[in-house]
Amino acid sequence: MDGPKLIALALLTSVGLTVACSAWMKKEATDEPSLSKSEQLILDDYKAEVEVGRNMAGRLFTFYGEYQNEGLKSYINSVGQYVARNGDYPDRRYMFSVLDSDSVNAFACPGGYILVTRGLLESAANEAEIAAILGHEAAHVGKKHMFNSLRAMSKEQVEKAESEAAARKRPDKYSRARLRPVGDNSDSGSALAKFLTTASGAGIGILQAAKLGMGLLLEKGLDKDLEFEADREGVKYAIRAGYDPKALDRFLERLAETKKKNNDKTVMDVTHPTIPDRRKVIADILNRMGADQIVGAVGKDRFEAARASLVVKGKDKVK
Amino acid sequence: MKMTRDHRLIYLIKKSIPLLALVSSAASADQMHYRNVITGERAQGLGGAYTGVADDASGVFYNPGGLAFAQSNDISGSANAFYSKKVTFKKAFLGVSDFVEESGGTFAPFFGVMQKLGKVLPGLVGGFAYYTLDTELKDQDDLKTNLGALQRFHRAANIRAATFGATGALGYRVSPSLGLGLSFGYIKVDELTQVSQNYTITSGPNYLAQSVRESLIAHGAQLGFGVQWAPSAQLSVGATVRSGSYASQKYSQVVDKVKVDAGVIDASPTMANSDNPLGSMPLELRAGVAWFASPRLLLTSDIDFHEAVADTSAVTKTLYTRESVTNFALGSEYYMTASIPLRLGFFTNYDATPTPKTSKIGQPDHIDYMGTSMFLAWAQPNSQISAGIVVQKGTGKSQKNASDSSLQDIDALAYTLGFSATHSF
Repeated sequence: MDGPKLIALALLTSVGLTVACSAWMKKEATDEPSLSKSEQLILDDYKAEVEVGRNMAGRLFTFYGEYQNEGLKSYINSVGQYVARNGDYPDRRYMFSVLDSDSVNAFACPGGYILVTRGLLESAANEAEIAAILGHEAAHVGKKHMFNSLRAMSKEQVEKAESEAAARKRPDKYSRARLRPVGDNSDSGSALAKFLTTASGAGIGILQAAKLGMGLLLEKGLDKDLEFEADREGVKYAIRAGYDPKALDRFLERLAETKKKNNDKTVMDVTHPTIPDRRKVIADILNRMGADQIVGAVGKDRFEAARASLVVKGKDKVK
Repeated sequence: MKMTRDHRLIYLIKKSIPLLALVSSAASADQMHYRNVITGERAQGLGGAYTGVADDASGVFYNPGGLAFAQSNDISGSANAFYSKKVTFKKAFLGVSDFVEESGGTFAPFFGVMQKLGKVLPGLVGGFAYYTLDTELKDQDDLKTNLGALQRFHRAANIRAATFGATGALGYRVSPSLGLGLSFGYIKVDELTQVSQNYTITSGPNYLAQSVRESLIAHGAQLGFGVQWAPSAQLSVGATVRSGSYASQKYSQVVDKVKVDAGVIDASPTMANSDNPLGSMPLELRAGVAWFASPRLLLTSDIDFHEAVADTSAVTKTLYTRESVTNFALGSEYYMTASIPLRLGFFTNYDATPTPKTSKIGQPDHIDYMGTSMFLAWAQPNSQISAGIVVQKGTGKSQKNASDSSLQDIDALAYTLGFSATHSF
């Protein structure tokens, strides 16, 4: 076969292979199961939730820093995953980690990002207490407390929250006078934002939702009833997982004593109901579940072993 | 914004053709205008009237005291997509036809970052900016034939020139209404001009060829002090003083000329160097007022003054002599929607070159500019991009013909299409 014929044959073969591959790939794409409208909405909803939560978790990591202790993070993750699997939403995705902060707090971001502070781990007495706290946060995630609260905000509420946040960030009148209007998030920037903008609420985008979510996490808190619900569910999940039913109550009792002793006010006091009110709710659910008859694990040794590597920085431990 | 840079790049042709002369007083970068480039993403739209605001990264340039009022940490950059300039010397060519010089190109006038340093000292803000004060890249080629006794005239000019600065600054909020700032910057002037000219005429010295190469490199430092004071929440007054000096200046000129006159060849190459053509760096005083009328509306005004500086070099003589100059600027910003601010600015860009007089010869051009800027921005919660145009229109006088004291009118038009972005974090 001479040169030109060989080249022509090679070209024809290439074209033929390309056409065949394209047809096959098209068929593969067509064979993918298409989602119904309602399924697509659920998928979009979940994607948006994860996106908002990821943004919020990123902000928390930026603000506090992640506590660099792989062993401790792994331990918290295993306890959290175990409790969450015993919750009402075991199929959801959860990610647990530790923030490098002395304050005693835990945060549940939409999409399953749950972060506890180093201060909280220093203050806890055993694994059962940690399990109940992580159960509380897992309940927030599973029931989409934060995400639904953000989506349900009216336009007026969004504007008010933003203006309050702006005022808090720039406290003096000279700086406030320099504030410019807050630009809208671009729909074109994210297809996920589109879902939120078509939701029934104020039509906020991912970034805006994350910012407002941070305001709720760190400054305003969720509705009290949602916190009470998370307490009830958290206790329930921990009991299902086999932990001591009264662990959360004991943790809160100790926390209240320490706060009283130190005349201490923290972010948690602003973002959560009062400890006495929370303990009443917990007592009620324990009573209804017949907790006195349940013997649960405390997990003190395992917890102490994991916590041994914690670098204690704070002074006022809840002991 | 580009100005007439090589207004000294004069092809000096005497009107009397038999004595047609070719003398070069070659180019220099435009050290004679102080608002050729409007620095800063927001400031650019406000025509440079920004001394009373200066609370973003460009505050490093306008007023380090304004940094103290920073709202957030910023990173900001401006990339000017395109600039163009056209300078028309009316009837400068043998008194009959216009001579036109055009240039164009792209350059990035500004990059800045600003970081709150509250962890070091509450109220402290640091910033750094790199900015282009002036730039030119010109490739000009002019050919004239059969103009009366002038059989052929050919001039090719290439200019590469830039003046830029890199400055670090600190702003400190002394009280809620008062900010003070200090800046320390490095300035570099780098110019290279190469001109080649040939002509042939039918009488007198009937052939002349000349090439001129000029180079100027200068390094300097500038120290600035800025203050910003808010007599009320909506009103802000700022002032800046900047003083500097050149640590080194190196100017060299090579003129290689061949003239053939009635069969006699006259070749006289010359070389000259100077270590002090620019003299000192002019003291700069800047003051501005900003009225934050509402979150949507901002009005600003600026005035800046540059002192006179004499060129005492024996080589460049008075080439770089600068008179004192006072410029003005007005700016406005209005948010048409929460995401779309419109910015307008008006400013002057007067020439520090002494105005040519008919009692002298060989004087450099003088062009006074009036400029306007219009920018639209697209604001997101943490970022903003701006696009717009800066137009400068100038008029002035030139003296293009050697040994001839007559003056020619100049019309100039320069515009810059600007694109900038700022991200807050």
